[in-house]
Amino acid sequence: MNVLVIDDEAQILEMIAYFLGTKELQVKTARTGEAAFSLFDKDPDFFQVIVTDVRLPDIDGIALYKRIRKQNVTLPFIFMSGHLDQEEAIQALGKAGSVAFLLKPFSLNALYVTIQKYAK
Amino acid sequence: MISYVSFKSSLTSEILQHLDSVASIQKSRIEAIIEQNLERLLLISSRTQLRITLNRFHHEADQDALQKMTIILRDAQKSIPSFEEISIIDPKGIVLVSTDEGFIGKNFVSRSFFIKGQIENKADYFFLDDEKNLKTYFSGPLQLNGVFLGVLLVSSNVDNLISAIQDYSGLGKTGETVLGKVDEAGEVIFLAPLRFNPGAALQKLPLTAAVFTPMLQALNRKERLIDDAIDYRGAPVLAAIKYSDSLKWGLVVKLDQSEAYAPIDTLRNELFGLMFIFLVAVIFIASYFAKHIVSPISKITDRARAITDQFLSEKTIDIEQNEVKSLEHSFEQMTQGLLKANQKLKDTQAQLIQSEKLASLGELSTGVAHELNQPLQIIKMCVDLGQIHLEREDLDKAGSHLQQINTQVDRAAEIIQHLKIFGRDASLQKREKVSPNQIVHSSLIMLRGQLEHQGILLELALSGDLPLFEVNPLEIEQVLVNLITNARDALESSQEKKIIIRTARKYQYIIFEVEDSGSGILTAVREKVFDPFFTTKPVGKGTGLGLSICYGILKDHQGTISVRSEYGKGAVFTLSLPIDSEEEA
Repeated sequence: MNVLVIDDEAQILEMIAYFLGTKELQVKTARTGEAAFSLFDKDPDFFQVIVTDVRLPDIDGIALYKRIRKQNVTLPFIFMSGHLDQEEAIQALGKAGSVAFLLKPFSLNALYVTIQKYAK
Repeated sequence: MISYVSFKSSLTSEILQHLDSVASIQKSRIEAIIEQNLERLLLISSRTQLRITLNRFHHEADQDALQKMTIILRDAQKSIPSFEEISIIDPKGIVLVSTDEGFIGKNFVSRSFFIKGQIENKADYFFLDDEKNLKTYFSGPLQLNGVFLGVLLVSSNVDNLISAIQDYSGLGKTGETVLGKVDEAGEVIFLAPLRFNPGAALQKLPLTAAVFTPMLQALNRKERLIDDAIDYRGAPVLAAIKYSDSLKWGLVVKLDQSEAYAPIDTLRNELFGLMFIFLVAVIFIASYFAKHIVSPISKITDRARAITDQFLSEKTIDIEQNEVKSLEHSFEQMTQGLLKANQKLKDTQAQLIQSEKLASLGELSTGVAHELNQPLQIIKMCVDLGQIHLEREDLDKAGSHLQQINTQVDRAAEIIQHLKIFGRDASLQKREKVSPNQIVHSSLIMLRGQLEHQGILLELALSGDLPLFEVNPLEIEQVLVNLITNARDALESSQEKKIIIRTARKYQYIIFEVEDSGSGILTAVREKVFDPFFTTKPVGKGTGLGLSICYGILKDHQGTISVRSEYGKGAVFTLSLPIDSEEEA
């Protein structure tokens, strides 16, 4: 399973990649929305799930979601956010089963379980 | 007025001197005229031919003698035009011979000119003829060798006398020469016509003027100058009075005071005129004052009271005083009210600063949550991975995760610490000497992450050569946070997202600049950015107090805050704060 993880903090990406690697997942990481989109754009069917922070330095997670949705309508998105009040907006983005919300701070295991649940 | 009085007195004496000299001349002229008439009388009465003939007639009573005397008298009359009739009265008082036949036979036995005429030559037996013309009789004795023969009687007009009297040269329009005498009945009479009463000849002096008239004094043989005389008309005059011993006449030369003082009265009138104008001016000025000064003062007073009553919750006390006192009082009340209001305003401003901080703290909370969640997230994952490494007995990696946790706790603690400082009431903080650049760094602790997240390029152009300056660092930091937050918000929809923060020294001032590459500020907006409650941000996003609070803080520091911006070309906010002079020494 190929996973794309996006966060502006390198340390977080590093630890998520390491952990998911132990679970036999193939992880690619990006620190900005633009970098993530170009990874996706190379092959829109390559990733089975995208894990992204809501806040990103350039375009935010939601904008990234909207851009990717234009090319791939089923790719599951897992949003990470420190704000519980963002959940409602996130859930409203797509049909149940394609969008998940993870409240920071979450455990690596919780991330893995969520990926298992949502990934195609 | 003093010059008027002294001028009047010198004018008076000058005119009196003038009248005196006129009076002296008139007296001489009149005495000369009368003397001339007596001489003419004497010339006739002393004719030997006449006396011999008269003497012959007394003895012989022949018609030839009468005829001869008539011819002599007629010759005499022809040679002296003013002599109208010449007659000879016999010792019994009967007219014996006359140039006018109608006179012959008239009995003058009881007439004074006949009685006195037997003894002396005299020329003042004045009378009015049928046509009211003033005439006089001259009479004198006719004698031959000491024997009384009769009285020579001449009736004459007094044209020369009257023309002398009526010569008003040097006497202006009201001056005249008045002749008077005491008549046989003891009454004071005017001899000649008067300038203002042509029919006054031989009339008695009016009783009303009798006491004061100069003529009475003249007839009391006094020669003097009078500056407060009243004449026969009751008019005040200046007068010179003379008395003729030979004639026993009084002579008064006088001039009305109204004419005498006309020039000086003009002066007086001008003076009064000036005083009147002055008075009018005073009244005008007073009313001007009343209108333009007192009335505005009253208005100001009323306004001050109104302001005090309406805005300053001070009850004004109405005290009846003049306008200035009243204004002073109202002003004092308003001042007191303003002082209290000002204190209240200061307190309110301090509260506003605090609540603004809390508001911006709330606004920052989104960012702060993110900032705190990042270290927490890392800690949480470090724990997860640590456990995995412990299970695998990879102690080195587990230890590395513990170390990371420690670092992240410090990171979180720093943010929290800063929040606590920022939330404190900065107005309670004392001023301290700090580095300007340190304040910039402090203000970025909570903002740097946000800026990065929003893709805003932050450029610091901080001068490395700045002295410490004495400020309330938390307040200045709050200002910078405010400016940077505004810059951030301004870049929300911009293509190029860049904030430049500069520090510099300019003379005795530290300069901070926060520049953004946003859309800039419209001129109309720029004029209001420091107004309280003015905001261009969406409802719920800004309180509109930010920049006005900044303005207040800068003012407290004797500094300034200004903005320059061109719409479409970003904006630069500049703070200018004085360096403590002590630091310079």
